[in-house]
Amino acid sequence: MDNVAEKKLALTHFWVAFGAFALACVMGGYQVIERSGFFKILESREVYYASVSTHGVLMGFVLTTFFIMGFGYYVATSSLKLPVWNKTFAWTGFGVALTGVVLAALPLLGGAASVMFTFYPPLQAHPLFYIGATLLVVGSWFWAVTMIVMYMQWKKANPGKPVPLAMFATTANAILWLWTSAGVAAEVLFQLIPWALGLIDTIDPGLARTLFAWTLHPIVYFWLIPTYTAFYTLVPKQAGGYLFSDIMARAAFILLVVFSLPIGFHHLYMDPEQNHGWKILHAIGTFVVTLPTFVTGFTVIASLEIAGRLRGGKGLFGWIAALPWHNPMVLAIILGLLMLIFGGFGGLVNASYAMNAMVHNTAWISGHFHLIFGGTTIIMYFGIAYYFWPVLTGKPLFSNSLATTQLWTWFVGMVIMTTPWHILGLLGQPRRIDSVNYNNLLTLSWEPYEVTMIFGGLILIFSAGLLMYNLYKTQTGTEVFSGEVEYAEQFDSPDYLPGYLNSFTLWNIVIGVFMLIAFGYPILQFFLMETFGSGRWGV
Amino acid sequence: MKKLILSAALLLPSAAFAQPSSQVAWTADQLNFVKAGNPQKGEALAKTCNACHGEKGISTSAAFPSLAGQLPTYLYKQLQDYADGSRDNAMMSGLAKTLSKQDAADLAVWFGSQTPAFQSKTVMVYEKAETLVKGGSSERVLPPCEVCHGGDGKGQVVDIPALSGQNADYISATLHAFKDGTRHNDIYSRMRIIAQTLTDEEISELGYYYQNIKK
Repeated sequence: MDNVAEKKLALTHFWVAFGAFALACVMGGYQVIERSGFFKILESREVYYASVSTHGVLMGFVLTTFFIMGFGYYVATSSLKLPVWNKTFAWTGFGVALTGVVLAALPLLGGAASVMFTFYPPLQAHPLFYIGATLLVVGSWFWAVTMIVMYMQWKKANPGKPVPLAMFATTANAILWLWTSAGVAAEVLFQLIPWALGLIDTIDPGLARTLFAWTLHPIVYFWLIPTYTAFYTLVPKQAGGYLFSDIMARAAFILLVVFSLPIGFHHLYMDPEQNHGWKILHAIGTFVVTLPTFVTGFTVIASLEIAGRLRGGKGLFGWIAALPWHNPMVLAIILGLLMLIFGGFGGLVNASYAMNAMVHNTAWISGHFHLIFGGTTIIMYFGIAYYFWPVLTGKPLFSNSLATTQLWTWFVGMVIMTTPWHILGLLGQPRRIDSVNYNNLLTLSWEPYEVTMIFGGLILIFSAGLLMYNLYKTQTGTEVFSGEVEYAEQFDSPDYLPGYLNSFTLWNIVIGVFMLIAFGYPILQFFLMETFGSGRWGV
Repeated sequence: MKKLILSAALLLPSAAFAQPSSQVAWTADQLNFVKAGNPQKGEALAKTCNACHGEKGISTSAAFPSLAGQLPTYLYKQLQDYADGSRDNAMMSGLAKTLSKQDAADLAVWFGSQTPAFQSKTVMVYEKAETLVKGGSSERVLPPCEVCHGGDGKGQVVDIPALSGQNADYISATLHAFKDGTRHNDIYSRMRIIAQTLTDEEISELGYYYQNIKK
């Protein structure tokens, strides 16, 4: 199949994603230096908060959304052996999303949207920021629709056959994203934009935060699913083995989609607008969603063990040494899983109400978030990029050793940067602060960790530079590469796959019921009781 | 005797009853009311203010503040505070009582729309003030001034006043008034608490710093 157009579509999305990533890394470097307080000449509150907001939007919304769209388009075409459905539609989605990014960037860089990437009403940003963010989400819906249509096209042409796992996971992510983005879409369309435009005078932060909580947790899984897709469908092949269990993979993806949605209130544990009972309900769901992560950990490690033993690894741990550590994707998963172990532990702390109270809004949260997202999720994005770039550009990877060096430096930098943040959080340092103005024994005790985080940040910037250099040199190389994406075969080939593991109809109904239970009354209450909106605050 | 003690105990809290520092609450209606002030009417009313506050709201005397470019919400609140006694001034308290709320909103919007006073950047360095403005004071647990008043001294919604270009002596006099409590219409006593920790030298420097701040 000639898929030149699909390659161009995917590669364009990837370049926007990594362009945003590179810019955000520079900003991140500035932020750790500014916040450390050791370089007075660089200190500026206005620039710091504009930078933090832009860094968060670029990393959390732009890098992820464009990467996921590009990855999805190419997974769809390569796993289903189908052309992308309606390329004009797909490019329109790209255009809408990119327009949104540009519109949002204007107030962000001008300091008129320093409200963090979580929007944070009653702090108010320039209307263009909210309109731009909305267009980015709307653009991504074009992608989600395309994925679902292609999934249905394939099912129609292949009745009764299991949808290729990579596409099953990608469709799961598209469905997850449509459910996920509904919360923030409602917040932006009915609250933030009318408020920022002056059409309404006040905003109800309780309702706004509840709607954002609808989105705030499952969006993390929207970001994570491409990583898990690579774990299950790409890594085993690259490692020289097989996927341990296709059925467990499908079950994990379904569990992720179903249980990541009705649990967002663990972001609101310390908020007053929701009753404890709802928080407990969401807390239970939060612990349930760890199950597919444990399943993934088990299945992926089992797949790696198969590969290691096939490569001659012996003994209890000998298979680990036998893995191809020089392969960027294999190295990425090893380092990603290491960060997932520590980040996952931190996540369990956050999910536990009493412990959450101790780390709430401290640097611990920044540390946890960067370790899981900037660590586990993004390092696999790098692994995917190193694997996809030769396929998409038709040129071999410029340097494999540079790629593995980049992955190691990213891992080391992330550990050096986020470990002090976890400690600082336990020592009570708030997050989202640009400086510390109160010197006492406690705040003085923070200083060694502030120094350490700068080193971590600088290593990460160096690592990001290596990535961009390698991708650029690959693209501009002169040699020819003619490989294609290869998906892992499964170790157990079941003759029969239950319909509920090959379809999302049942699961959409389950999600609908769960969301009604988890968010129905908590949202409805704002319309039933007398509440008082807030005017604009700050900046 | 028991009844006497009980009555005294019940009446005691009333002795501790204190007026709020201001009667102005920034509800949406209140904000819209000020926002809808009529600048033309305000301009006409402002002619009676010219003698002290300058023709276009730029005062030439340190005894009277410049009002040009000030936040309308801040100006409205001050006029209401003068009128209801939350802020005391021999001249302004009487004048403010003669103004309707609509007059106050009209005046506030007009003065707010005027171009603020411009002071060329001074070559003088006000080190103590700059430290306070940008870094606060860790020993005194003082937040940096610019956190509320902005890095450019232009104030912040809803009613944190602009300080840039204001007369140095007026700023100093205001800080002294907060320090000794003669001015007490700041919400949560924020400025009184801060001013009480400032030295006379710092207060003086802060006045010059904001008078000459680069816009």
